[in-house]
Amino acid sequence: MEECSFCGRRAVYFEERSGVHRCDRCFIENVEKRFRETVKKWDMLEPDDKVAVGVSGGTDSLSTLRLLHDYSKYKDIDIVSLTIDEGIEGYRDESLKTVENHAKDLGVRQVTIRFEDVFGRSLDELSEISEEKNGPDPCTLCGILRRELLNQASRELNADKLAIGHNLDDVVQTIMLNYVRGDLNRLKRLEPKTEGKKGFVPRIKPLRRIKEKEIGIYAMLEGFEPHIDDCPHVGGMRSEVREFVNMMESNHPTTKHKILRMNDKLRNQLPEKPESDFELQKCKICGEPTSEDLCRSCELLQQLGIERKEQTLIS
Amino acid sequence: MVKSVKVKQLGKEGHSSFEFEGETRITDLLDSIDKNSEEVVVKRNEKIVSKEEKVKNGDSIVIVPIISGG
Repeated sequence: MEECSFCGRRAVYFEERSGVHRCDRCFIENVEKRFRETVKKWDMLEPDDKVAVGVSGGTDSLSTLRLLHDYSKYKDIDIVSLTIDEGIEGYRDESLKTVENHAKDLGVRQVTIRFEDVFGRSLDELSEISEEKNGPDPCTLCGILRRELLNQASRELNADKLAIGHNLDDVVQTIMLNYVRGDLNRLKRLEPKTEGKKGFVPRIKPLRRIKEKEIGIYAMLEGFEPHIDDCPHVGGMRSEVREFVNMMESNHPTTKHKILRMNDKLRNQLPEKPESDFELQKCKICGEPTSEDLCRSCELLQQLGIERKEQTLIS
Repeated sequence: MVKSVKVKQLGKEGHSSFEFEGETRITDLLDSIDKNSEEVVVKRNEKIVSKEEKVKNGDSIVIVPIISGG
């Protein structure tokens, strides 16, 4: 039996980068410690903050909600679980049950915003229309619309922060994708905590130093029942990058941490993009912050010939 | 009765199972079926184990994928 390097109990995890084995208790303690260190290092939270947590029902978001909930006991933070129901048949409906149960177990308020209520169409329907009109693929559609709804709902909830469950794997994959696409501006944007200027609620990523696998083990040890199924629309270059990064990490442990550390150092050396000088204004249709007349969501909906049904998300 | 290691793989395309005889480490078992240990959590006899752990005849192994597909 492999023993925990700290207490001698049965190990559940071997951390190759440090050569340390951890049992269930020491493993959970270590995840919580890295979460707190990340929050502290990047000044992610302040006393009396209200935090909207983007919760999809996967291991990352359920774990983020749980870790923030535990943290809130010591730091006097108010937590709201915020879910976007895009309307993906056979996928999101399952995960919504998981989300509601998890929020209920923790005694946290659950707010769900449905694409269909706001846009009059589900993502499945929007994707079909987009395909007919040679518009963007479902992941792009979902990314733009969901991101904006999360921001708007957080603002309407008077949240000071919007917490996202991006783990180390997600962040590293995004860094590598930006290299592959040659997108310097997006590389600069990968901050652990975004600035909350003019209508944008600051987004924080407190899991950015914790691997996807570690979050998976944490969720299983804590007895969550995450919704583990792939979105039917998922695919593309990210899957290829994930496979490559995982192969590198397997052959050369610490790869993921090194890529993140290098990007954190590099990000500060990159020049500010000229767009940041542009004055942000309100979208002429929905009022969301944008540097153009229309925000990206409304521009996209216009391209698809769809009229937004609701302007306000939370009554 | 000859005992064997029972391995069950959970996955979105359904579950699959196979058996083998002998003693090996989890990490070698994963290599043999072309699974990257970064992408799965392994349970031996219903308990999560580190990839350095050995499996032996009579053990029951479940391989759980770690997925965040949206």
